[in-house]
Amino acid sequence: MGFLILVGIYAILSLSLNVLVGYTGILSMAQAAIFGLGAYASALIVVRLNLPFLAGLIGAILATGLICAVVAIPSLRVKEDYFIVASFGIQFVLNDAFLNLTSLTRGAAGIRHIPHPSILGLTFDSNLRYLVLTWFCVGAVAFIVWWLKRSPFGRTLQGVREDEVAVAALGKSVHRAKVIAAVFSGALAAIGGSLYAHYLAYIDPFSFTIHDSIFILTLVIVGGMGTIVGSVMGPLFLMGLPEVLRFLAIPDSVAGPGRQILYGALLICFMRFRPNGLFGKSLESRGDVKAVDGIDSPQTAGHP
Amino acid sequence: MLTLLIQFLVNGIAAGSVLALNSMGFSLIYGTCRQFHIAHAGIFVCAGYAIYATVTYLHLPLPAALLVAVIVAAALGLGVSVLIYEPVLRLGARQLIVFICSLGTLTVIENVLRIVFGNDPLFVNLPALKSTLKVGEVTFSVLQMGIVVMALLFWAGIYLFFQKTRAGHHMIATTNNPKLAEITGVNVSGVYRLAYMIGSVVMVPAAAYTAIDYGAVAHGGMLIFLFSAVAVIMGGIGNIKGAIIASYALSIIQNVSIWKIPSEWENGVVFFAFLLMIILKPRGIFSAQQGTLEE
Repeated sequence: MGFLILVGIYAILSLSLNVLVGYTGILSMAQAAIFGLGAYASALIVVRLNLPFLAGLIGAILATGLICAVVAIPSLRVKEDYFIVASFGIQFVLNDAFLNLTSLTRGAAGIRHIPHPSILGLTFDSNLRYLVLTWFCVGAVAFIVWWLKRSPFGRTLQGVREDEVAVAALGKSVHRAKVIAAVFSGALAAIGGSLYAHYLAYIDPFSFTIHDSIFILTLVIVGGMGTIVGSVMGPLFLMGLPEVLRFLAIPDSVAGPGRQILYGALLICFMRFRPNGLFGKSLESRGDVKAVDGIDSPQTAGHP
Repeated sequence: MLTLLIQFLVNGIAAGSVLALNSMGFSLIYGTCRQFHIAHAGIFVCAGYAIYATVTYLHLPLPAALLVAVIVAAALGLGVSVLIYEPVLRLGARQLIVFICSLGTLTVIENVLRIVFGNDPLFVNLPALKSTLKVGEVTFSVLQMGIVVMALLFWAGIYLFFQKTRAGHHMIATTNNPKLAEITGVNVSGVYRLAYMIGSVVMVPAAAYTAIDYGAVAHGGMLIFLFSAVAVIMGGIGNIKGAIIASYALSIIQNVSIWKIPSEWENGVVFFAFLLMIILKPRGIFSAQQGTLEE
């Protein structure tokens, strides 16, 4: 049951990153830090200010969205490799902040005793109730992402992904579209962060490192960039795989790195053999190169 | 007060040499191949472990260990380029896809090393290099002097490579215009492979310094790689001199900032400098000399 709760939380993170990577074509390495912002904001509002869970959740969404805007406005002026470096920077600096702003975050000791969420008198203290809450949020986030994709703004984002110059030529601001996408993505990740903090009742900076950012990116890529089903099934597949492999009785010192090796190898293999991911539509079934979700498919090379 | 400042400056120059060697290597690769080769960070760590293993298990002196590390780094640079990048590039992949492959490669390398060498830093036991000299109130180690000399030697070596050798000329031609270079008979894919090999070898002294001073650790390559990427972008892509100057500038700023800013924010200082550069001069500080940024 706990496993499915975590899968739900990572599905939310995967969906949130997909808004950037899949729809807008921005590769960000900072999603775990953004997730951490949401977790810390929610935990601090509830623990320090003694406010209810909903206030923590909404506060986390607003605070994370705001910080994303502040960070994205300068850093999204550049693109591709330059932005990748900037996003690494954001990841490292935010993680340093979680670790070093000890008066606020208690540093490496982390924040403990985060209470179970309680909404309108209903306390989510059992795993089953929390599972329902989590997957309700997954549904809500998936709906928002779906709605975003079909909205006129979503089409602008896809335009940004395909051809920035064309979007600019239509009189739309590419930079503003990217910043709004980053704020949206951050706000959705904050929902995952809030659920994570209140589920584990304990957070520390080591859950939001660069390795977690790489993991969230792996979820998006394996599930399929730009697909909603993929973002939900990606976590189920990637987090389920080690659970299945657990029966092989590998010693602990090897199991952790072994799982990482598996994820790294999957990244390489998917890029090599199936860049659209598990649930991305392949070219053959669509017959329409322009409409393919995800990024340029290598398969076009051999079949003009 | 002044001695303290000079001490920070000396440390900054030593750290700048480590970063400059990394930046030279990455600049060669990024300038020539335009791939954001983050697996480079994994090769850096492998070179450090190669030195550790040669000194600790084979009881060979440092020059032999450096030679082993050079072979390991060159082989890995070539291997990653041929086995990982070339297959996806042949399919017409964009740079983003190659970057994701590179990230996967780094993850695999780091975690294989964790299984083989464990999670704790492994120190290369060469006490002679750690002995310090004192000039007035300022202290520096033999190791720090060595890395400054190495950085200058490699700078001269790269300069001569570009000025005097045929392969160097081919590399400049490829950097400036790969299509034209191909037409005029340059073996472009050969140049790319050579860039990956030389770029990997150039950072070996930096890997040795890190393994001796801070210990070899599997995750130890990413941050210095990112700093070198910052230096390369600041210096102007393909401009090795610019990358070197930016490396020293960043390291000196980073070390002197410890004077005023608590040291736990020293990584933030580098990225903040990068953010400032993005806002003020997004094409790099020394990019005026370099006309190849536009496709």
